[in-house]
Amino acid sequence: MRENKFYTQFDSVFFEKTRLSMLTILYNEGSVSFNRFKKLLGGTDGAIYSHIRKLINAGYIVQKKGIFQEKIQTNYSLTEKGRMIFREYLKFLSDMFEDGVMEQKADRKDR
Amino acid sequence: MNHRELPEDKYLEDIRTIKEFLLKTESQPIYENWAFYVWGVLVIVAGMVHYYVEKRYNLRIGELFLRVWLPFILLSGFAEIISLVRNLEKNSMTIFSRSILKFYMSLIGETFVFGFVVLVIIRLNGVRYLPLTFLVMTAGWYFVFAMYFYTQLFYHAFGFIVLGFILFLLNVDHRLLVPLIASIIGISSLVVGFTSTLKKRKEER
Repeated sequence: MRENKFYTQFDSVFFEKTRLSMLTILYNEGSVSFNRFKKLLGGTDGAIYSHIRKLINAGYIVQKKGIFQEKIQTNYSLTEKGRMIFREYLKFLSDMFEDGVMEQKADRKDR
Repeated sequence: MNHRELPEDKYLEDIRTIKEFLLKTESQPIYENWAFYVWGVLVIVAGMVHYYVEKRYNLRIGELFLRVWLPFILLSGFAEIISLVRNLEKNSMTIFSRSILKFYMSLIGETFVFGFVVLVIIRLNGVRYLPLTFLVMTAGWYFVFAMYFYTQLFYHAFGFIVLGFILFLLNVDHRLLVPLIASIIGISSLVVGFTSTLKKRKEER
């Protein structure tokens, strides 16, 4: 029952398509503005902001204000916790599918 | 194994999502494509001006650098900044995006290496090898560019290295070498601008 153990390890904040997309973008780009999220994900400002709030409250991302082209801009980046859980989830996915392949091979041998 | 069916579908969907956004964020051009046209034209013009000025006034390499190549570097740098900033704005990216930082760290590092090699060549009185060095070092810059969106530059870079070796083995030493190499680099830059524009249009479709 490995998958159930892992499933409960990742909370509901993590298991949502838009939020997983946001974590992927942040993992790859490091620091991302609100407009960048909007450009890549689409959707309304309200919806994107709501997902950002949930990720901030869960401690996965932080916001920092900075100056870009003479304007104040809020940028978001992963916290250590956010980076760690994203890596763990990638590892989990990899392990799960490796296990699945091994199980299928074992099933074929048994037959 | 039925109890695993639903979670596995969810995980497959997650893998698709992660892959989609990794690809989306990795295939971002750094510059607006017009910059490659500007660099291409500038380097061809600079090569020709170098040939003309050297022939007419018989200037030393230091004077040629100050009168021909420094204005070229400044104009190219200006075009680079404008196209970078406009592109960042268009894609709502920041200069602190990981890919941009990695790109510029690599580019600046490569430029320092180039500067050092040029100084060594000048000290060893090997000024006649500077055009070949410039060709091969441009290949180094192209490798950096190729890692970030402009993958076709790998082919250009290997072509430059092969050409550099051939010219070195043949011991070619002619005044026309500078405009010739500048034209090759310029045409390559124009080709990159053109193919990047086509690639972008294809992706937008």
